[in-house]
Amino acid sequence: MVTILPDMNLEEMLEVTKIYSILGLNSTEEPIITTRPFRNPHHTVTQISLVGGGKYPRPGEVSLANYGILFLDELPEFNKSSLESLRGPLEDRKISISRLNTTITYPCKFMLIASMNPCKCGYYGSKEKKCSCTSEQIKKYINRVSGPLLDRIDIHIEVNPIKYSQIETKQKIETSKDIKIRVNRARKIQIERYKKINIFSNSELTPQLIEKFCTITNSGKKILEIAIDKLGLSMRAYHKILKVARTIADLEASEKIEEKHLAEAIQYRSLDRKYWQK
Amino acid sequence: MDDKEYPESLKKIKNPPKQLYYEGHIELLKNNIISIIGSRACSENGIKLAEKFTRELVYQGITIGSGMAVGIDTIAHKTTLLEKGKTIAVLANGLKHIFPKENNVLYKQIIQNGGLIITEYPPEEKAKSKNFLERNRIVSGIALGILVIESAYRSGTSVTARLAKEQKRKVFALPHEVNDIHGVGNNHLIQKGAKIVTNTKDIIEEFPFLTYKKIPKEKISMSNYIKRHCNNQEYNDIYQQIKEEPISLNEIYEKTSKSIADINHTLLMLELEGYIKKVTGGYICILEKK
Repeated sequence: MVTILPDMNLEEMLEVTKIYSILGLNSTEEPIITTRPFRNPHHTVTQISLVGGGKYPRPGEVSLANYGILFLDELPEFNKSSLESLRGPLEDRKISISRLNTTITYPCKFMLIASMNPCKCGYYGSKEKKCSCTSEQIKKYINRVSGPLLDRIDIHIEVNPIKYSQIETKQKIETSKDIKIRVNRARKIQIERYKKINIFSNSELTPQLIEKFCTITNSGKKILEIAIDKLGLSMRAYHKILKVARTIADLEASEKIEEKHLAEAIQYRSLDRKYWQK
Repeated sequence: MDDKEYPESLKKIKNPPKQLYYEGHIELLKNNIISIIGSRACSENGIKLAEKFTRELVYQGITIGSGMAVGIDTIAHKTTLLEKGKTIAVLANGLKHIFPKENNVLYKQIIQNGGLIITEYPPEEKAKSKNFLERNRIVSGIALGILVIESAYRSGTSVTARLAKEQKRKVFALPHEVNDIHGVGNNHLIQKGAKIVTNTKDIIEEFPFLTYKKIPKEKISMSNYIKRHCNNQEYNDIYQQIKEEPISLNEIYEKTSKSIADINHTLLMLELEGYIKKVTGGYICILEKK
């Protein structure tokens, strides 16, 4: 994942380095952190160590992942209150920790990546093995990740297990190096586009700015309208879809958001759909 | 049991229920009933088959019976209501404790749409596991025959099938692929003498007093919208890959050598138009009745 992230600029490097130096995590060989951080706390992580805190408030994992990735493996296994505490930081991109003596605000502009199984036994929807969970158990498992948190995640992808024979595939796969070139190019387009309003990327767009920068064609609007209606997507998902569509268009270096970009963005919101319940 | 509304069909079975509690239209028990049963943990294929056979049997004027459990039972009831047919739910609990709870809505819908709910248990009785097996003898007892959509090896469904046989009811079973874990029970039933069924006609022709009505062919025509929006060939290539079994995006990608973006675009269009459906594990095709 880290290998395809865009390069950091100087301001970003300094901000990340500052946070690491609070905890004394910089090494003498590499005093300034130049690569984007990747944090993957175990699912037993406490709320305090995730979002920050303590008697003298220290930055948590969300701040350590500033300008980088926070990866939560086995999302439903995390403590419910820890997960819910991520809602604010995801929205505000900063976190204020108040204690008796002091209030400290740390930045946390991280990208959240999470993975989970479809059910407790892990075979729901699998072709190879029968799922041994009851529909009640499946529902319970999915519900451990709350709707509001799910709503804040832009892209949901379902992946099927791969067989041994598929590991060595003949098909040409895009290498991380090639992807990074595309990503950097898209990032450059975004920095250029948002130069005047002092933001770096699509993810920072506010609803007003979305109206301005993510214009879609009439036929695109039509598709979005039908999709929201037919697939049961929430209106909150609307802005997310536009932002993701903007990014897909940027990756293709396309100035306009075309219908196919929009369609792809809609496809990425699979968990919102009602299909998960039988 | 001596009541004149007590169904004749149940009087003749072994160990008939001593009393019946009901809500809805009791006269439905005099209709020609086929009970549709299958596993609770059903596959996508099972759901599709249940929908298809229920729809077609309703078209033949059959009243659909089932046990209102999750899975195939629920699908059978819901589809019957959708097709404006009559359905009978046989419960394993009292009328005051609907089980499973999420079927409360279904319960009301069945009654509102001229259906019937029956049970041999007094209203206060809660669902117990032993009741389910006992209930099954009524599911088959009220019917001319039972249609087993899908059943795993040694399941409750196979018990119902055995009871039906003892009651001299016809047992119909859909054949399944040898390796299909969801369907092995059906293949066993067929081995033991259940009638193998591949279409509705196979069921109707077993009963001399019923005549088979030809079902208008389901047509799939490409809608104008898709014609306009997707390159025709591209649409077809991708649509051809999507079959009864869920196929994932990656598999479609491997088989069609198109870009993920293009596939996503077409899939969304197909889904919005109602040709395919997203399920866990990928996409399946649904033939819309036109």
